Amino acid sequence: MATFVRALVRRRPLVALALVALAGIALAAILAPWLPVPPPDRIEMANRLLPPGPGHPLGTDNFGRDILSRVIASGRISLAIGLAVMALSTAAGTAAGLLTGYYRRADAILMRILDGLMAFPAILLALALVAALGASARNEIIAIALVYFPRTARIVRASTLALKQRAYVEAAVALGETDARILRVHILLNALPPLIVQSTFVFAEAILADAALSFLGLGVKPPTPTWGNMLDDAHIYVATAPWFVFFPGTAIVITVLCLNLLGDAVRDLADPHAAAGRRRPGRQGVPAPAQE
Amino acid sequence: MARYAAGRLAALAPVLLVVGVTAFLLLHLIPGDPASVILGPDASAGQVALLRHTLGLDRPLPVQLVLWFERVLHGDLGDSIFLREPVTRAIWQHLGPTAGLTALAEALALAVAIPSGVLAAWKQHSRFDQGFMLLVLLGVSIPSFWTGLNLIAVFAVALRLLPVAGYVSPSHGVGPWAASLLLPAIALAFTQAGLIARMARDSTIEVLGEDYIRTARGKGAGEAAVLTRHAFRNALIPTVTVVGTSLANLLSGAVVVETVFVLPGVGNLVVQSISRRDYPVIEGVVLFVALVYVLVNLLVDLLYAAIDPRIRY
Repeated sequence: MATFVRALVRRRPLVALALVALAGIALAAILAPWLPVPPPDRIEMANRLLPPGPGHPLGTDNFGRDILSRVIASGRISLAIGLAVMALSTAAGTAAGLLTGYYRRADAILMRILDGLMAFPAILLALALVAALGASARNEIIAIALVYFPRTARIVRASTLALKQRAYVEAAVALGETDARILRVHILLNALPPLIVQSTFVFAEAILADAALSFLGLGVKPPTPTWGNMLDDAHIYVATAPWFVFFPGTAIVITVLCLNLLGDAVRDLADPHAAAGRRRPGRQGVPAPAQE
Repeated sequence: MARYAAGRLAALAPVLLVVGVTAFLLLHLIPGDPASVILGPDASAGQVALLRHTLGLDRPLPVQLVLWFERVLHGDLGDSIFLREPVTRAIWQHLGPTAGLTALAEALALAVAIPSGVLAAWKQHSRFDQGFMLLVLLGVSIPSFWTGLNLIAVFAVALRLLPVAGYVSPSHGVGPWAASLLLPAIALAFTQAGLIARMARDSTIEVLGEDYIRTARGKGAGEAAVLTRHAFRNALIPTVTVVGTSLANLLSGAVVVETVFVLPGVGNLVVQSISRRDYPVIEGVVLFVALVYVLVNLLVDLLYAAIDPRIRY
């Protein structure tokens, strides 16, 4: 692990910065209740919409609540949602990818369904799903994971199709190993690098999707703060209190940018060929992180 | 070419089937009875029964699915509960701003992305290239609605150059129309430019490694001629495919950006329909946008095959 991180940082010095920033954001989110900042829900109507200054380093919001504490408290929710989406869509995508890559019959049906799901613009489908299921953190996680898992499935499927042809897999088949063991030991383990890269991108996408849904009032509801619903509260004050709009958005951008930097660097390290001259824009390779 | 087109069309059928079934199922995902959810707690039993009948919810699910497909194939997406008009008319009335916004954003993105991508490839590993790659990553890491809010803060509030929000129909003049769409289009284009520029850079790098580029340089062609005449045109071909994908992202982003800029587009229609629990409209818009996306990608694929004879199905 240490060797891996060192190799990563040597090739991309910026990755060191991204790792430090991500660690800081994660630590702040975990330690939020114990940090020396005002409680995120303490209302001080006398101190409404104060610009950044002493006592409130990032200013206050429309209820006089401290923006720094709310940005940190939001991180807890937004990162947790991102992690949950990543776990769910990686699990579902891996299962679907292994099945479709390994069994021709599953491929014919399941892949058509996944193709159909990918024909919807991501945010629009997530929006409609949450509207039907009802706005809550759980439904939001299900909706975003449902939108993004077909992309993971495609990547695992491509790896499975390639690995299935390898001599050691054919040898395992000849030795009478069970399909479950072949898929787990011989295929999944060798398909991990692109899968890990994709999971990083899904994490980043999930944070962006959560921001958009919460901004539209379809995510976690106030008073529990998320980066997205803070922006929803803030956007009407863009003229009078621009800092209220600026800081929650900056938290999103830094988090997502660091995740994308990390995913990009790991991809280049795992697949040097892809880093130099990339192949034709096929639907096989790891796609560039797509927005919203 | 005809065989390729036929093959692509045939491959489309199952995708369209899945798209249709997914859109159909949206209404049935509502926990409990959709009719009472739509009408709210104050509705009488008679009203609920009437809406159940209007929506066809009183029939067995497979029958509903068949009837629904029959309606959709005749271009009937049902009626809006709130607006009391056909869903297709509501979409049609909201199409203008969305079409203008996505077209303007795509044009801006292409105009910036292709030259800078080619330049970054030519200067690969240089300072320019590194800065370029960082900007590309930044583009895909910024929520476009937040970019939009910042643009409002700078260009509309502080500098007073452009309107804060609102839409001006092109019938009131092209200038005011473009001015009302410029900020949201820039917000959307930033992300798309990143994706397109990256593809332009990668495919130019690949082309620059080809034998015919070495030949061109070997016969003494100037670097500008090599770049424009030999590399650029071949690198453009794979870049065309991104345009199809980026349209989905633009339409997705437009949903949120239209809300920020109060543009009366399809995205705004769907967001308002969600708060009105107007499920036929939500279902109709989702289906409509997916169809547009599938058709544009088909066109892009056909175009791709037409300009690059090496591609065959």
